Amino acid sequence: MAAGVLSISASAPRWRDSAPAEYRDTRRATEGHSQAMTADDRALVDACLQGDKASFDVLVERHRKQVYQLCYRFVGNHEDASDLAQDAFVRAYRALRTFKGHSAFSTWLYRVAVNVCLNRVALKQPILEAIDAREHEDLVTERPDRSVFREERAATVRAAIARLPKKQRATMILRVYHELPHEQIAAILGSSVGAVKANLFHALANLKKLLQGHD
Amino acid sequence: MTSPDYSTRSSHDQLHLSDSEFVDLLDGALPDDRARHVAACADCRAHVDAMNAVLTSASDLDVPEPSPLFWDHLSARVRGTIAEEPTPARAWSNAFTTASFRWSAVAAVFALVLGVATWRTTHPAPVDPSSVANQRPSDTSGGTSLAENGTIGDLDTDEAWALVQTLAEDLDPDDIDDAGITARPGSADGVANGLTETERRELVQVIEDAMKSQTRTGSSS
Repeated sequence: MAAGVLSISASAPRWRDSAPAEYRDTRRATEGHSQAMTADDRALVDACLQGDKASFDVLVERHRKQVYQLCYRFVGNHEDASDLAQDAFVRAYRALRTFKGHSAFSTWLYRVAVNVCLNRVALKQPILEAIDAREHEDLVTERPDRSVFREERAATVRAAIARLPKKQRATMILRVYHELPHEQIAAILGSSVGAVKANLFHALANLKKLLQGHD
Repeated sequence: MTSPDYSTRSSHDQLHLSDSEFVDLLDGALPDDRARHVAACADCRAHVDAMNAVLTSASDLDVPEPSPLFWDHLSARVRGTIAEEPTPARAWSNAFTTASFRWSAVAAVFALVLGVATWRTTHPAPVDPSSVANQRPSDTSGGTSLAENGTIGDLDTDEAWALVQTLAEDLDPDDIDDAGITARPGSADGVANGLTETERRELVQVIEDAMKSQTRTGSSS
């Protein structure tokens, strides 16, 4: 393998194949809810289909952060991301009977959320959040001029990503930010692993072109 | 044992990376022989460096953490919306309303009706033994009319037939047409030619009765 042959391997982002710890956050008081929180996603889906709407609460709690972040990556502002995340969960609930369990529930949910986002961005150009609207966590420790530069650069990159074709943007978001393996991205987008890799390559190539004038 | 094909291997090593291989390299999953090419090829290295720079820029973007209250608020909004939603039905129970189910039902009903019709024309209905006793030995037609034996009237009390009727009543001609269940040209001729003389007479009788009944209904309305 090429790891170590080029310096790129060390500097490139490391992909994670497992979900973050907060993805499995389990906190609730009642015993029944505790049982639900420890149930796997498939069991919760089955419970929902039997009329136990509280089980869907657990699924929302379990996946809401990932879904919100995915939506934010598409639209670049909190208000729209919040609406899209809610819409994604409601659509997932309505379509719950179509979840066959062939893939992980998270993969299926991502697919629903990506479709919601792609439909939205097809109708409306994302309104990227103004720099001042975001939290500035590093202002205390970071020099103001560096912070402003970093924020401006981030806004430029966000705008460039927003201009990517839909599939390239979705692939880039799922791979670079959500660190999903190519196979899972292919399942979410309904394409092949080869197509996912090609889309990622072209997304990076297009991003390079879009960012050239800003370097 | 054959010797390695160095010419092929050499030309493979000299090829620039494909799109997919560039991604494999970023993943740290490029095979060693292709990695050796990158190490020796300035073009590929420059391309990889540029992609790596873009990837690093893009990776730096964080999603701002919303207020801690936001997560419960989001859950509450979803909960409030789905509270007004009906419970999502299981696929098998909902299947009764799908077009594919309707088509299947159409096909099933047609197959059943066809089966019943075929059975009726090829199997004599059970007859009263007393009438058999009175039958003349020379009467070998075997095509005793079902109507004469009263077996058609029995269908009205047959539960299975009632189910078929109920399903058939709900069928929309458009569904039948959409399902592609239509007679092919020449189908009627083919069926008619396959009937025996007695079956043909019965068919004519059934058609005539149906036409008379239709005429009566039309004139009374």
